[in-house]
Amino acid sequence: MILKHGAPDVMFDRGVKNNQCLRCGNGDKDLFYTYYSSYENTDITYCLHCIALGRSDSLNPLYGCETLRKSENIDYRLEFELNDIQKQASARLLDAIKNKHNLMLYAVTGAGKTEITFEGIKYARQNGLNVAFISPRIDVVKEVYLRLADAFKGVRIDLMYSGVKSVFSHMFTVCTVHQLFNCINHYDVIIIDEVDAFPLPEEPLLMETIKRAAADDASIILMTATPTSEMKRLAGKNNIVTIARRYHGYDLAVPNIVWHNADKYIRKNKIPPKLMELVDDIINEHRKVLIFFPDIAMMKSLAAVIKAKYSRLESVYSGDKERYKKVQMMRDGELDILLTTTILERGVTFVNLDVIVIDAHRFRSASLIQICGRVGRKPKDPTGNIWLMTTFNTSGITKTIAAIRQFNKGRDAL
Amino acid sequence: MRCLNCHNVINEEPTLISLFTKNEPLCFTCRTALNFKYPGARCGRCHQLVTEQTDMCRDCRVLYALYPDINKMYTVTDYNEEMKLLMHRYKFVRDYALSEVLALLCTFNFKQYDYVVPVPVSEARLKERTYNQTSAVLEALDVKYMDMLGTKKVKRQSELSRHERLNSTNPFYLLENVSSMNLSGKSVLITDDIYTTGITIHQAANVIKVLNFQNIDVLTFSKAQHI
Ligand SMILES: [Zn+2]
Ligand SMILES: [Zn+2]
Ligand SMILES: [Zn+2]
Repeated sequence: MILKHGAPDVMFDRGVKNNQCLRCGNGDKDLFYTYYSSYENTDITYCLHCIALGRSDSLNPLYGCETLRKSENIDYRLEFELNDIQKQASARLLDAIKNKHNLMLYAVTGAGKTEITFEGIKYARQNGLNVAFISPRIDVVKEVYLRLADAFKGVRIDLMYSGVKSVFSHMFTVCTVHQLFNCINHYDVIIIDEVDAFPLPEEPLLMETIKRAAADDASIILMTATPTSEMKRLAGKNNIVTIARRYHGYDLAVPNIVWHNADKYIRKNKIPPKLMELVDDIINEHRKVLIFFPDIAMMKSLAAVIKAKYSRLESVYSGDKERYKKVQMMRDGELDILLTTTILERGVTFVNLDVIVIDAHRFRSASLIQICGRVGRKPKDPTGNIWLMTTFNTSGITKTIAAIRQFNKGRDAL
Repeated sequence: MRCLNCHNVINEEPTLISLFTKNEPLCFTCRTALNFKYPGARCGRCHQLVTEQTDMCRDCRVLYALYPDINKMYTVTDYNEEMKLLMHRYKFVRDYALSEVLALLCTFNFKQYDYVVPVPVSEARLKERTYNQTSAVLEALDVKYMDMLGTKKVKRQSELSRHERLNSTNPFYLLENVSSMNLSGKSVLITDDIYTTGITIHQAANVIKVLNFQNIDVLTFSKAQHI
């Protein structure tokens, strides 16, 4: 069913009952709030977990409509042909949807994962299965939507993320995970891109939301470059497809470690000398660079001093209103250097790009693998350089380098 | 414990920061983002940002000429993006828990007043929201308040132009149980959620002055800065 404020039918007579939210499935007592309403003359308990989509409480019913299924004769066009590895993965994905089981697509960054799903989506929609393509990240949702809309010309696709709602039928939807709170037992195919991205691993309840939105015999397709044991369990042992090669066939760049205490210099409002050397070399080679920081404060302190030396430089973070504009400037070649937090670890592609990570010891390996995946994404610049600046080695750094080496040997690192 | 604004788990291990803060359902990040004032010169009366520090800005002079009843005005935070999101959730999504968050930001000495009076919300609004957003914060703060005002307003403030608002007849009236009181020599603090144009609070003060208060002050939780 789909819950919708203003729909005619009552789906549940109360939103919250017996310490359970009937909309999002939340049962964690810390995520409910109770107050006495003198106006209603009663205690009201409501769910904090799904409050962003409107209040589900112990007083008011939840309205909605039952799930509809309708086949649609859709097709897609690709600008290029899938390579053999992609074709195999696409066949496995189609097979999982036909046989109604889960599947994990364990793929290097830049493997062309989105295109691999097209055949499965076409089959699902032609057979009346409801499809959701979801991601924890808004940037990824937007990017995927554009690529699907471009390939499936003329097909109506729902798009939902915080503040945006363009819905036709809930039969073919691209959205963030949080938007699934209103869907129960509805989607027959759920494709999750970037399963490892914040906040999915941190919020186990969100995984419950996905399972709740899935129909009883749904296929859940998990796509990731850094699988966890929970994801492997959800997919099932024999349902893991590995793509160790990028679609252009080149190796992934292996990061170089630079032993350097950048923080010490930044604290003194100085540019870390080894950073300056690297950046100068990159500029001389006419390449661009993304410099990643573990937190906004550190990035801002360096930005304040480094701006005087390099004019074609900007910095971005999640709350930055100019964020999309600055990323576009980088794409258009108006900038050489972009300072960023982990916000740009996924979803962005620039040509002739190198990457530097400041205080790499403060990053998780899931982040580092994505960051390393920013370089060499285009066939005309298939390699690129990565420098991890750190003062000591961590399991995150070791794991990252090991995973990349394994991929390059053509083996998976599971 | 969870932060009532962002719902993240608040780290309960003692850190340098937590040693100095009480056990409260508001994380450090949210507190910093919400407890916010823009830098710069301000109007000494309404706290609007101005180019040159002044005792009374232009808006204040217009309002003061019409309604010269308020002595001092106080505001807790500036209405930034973060506060805007909070107020939207608090008032329109009915996330009542945020009354606690606003209360945690509000370090103000209410004890210096004989009476604290919240600005009322209309019956229609109360039916939708099920609470008066200002009273709920006062309750969270354990401040004894008294309802003295009623409102007949039905149109949303945002639906009126500034001109309409200035010239609109005063929507407030004294509640029956207080209308015959004489409170000369007493002080009152009128409290409201957001100070936008200031008209609402000046109109409330203009109605309440009939009770002969010696001093009328005003507190709003957030001040919108029109820059
Ligand atoms: Zn809920
Ligand atoms: Zn918080
Ligand atoms: Zn003023």
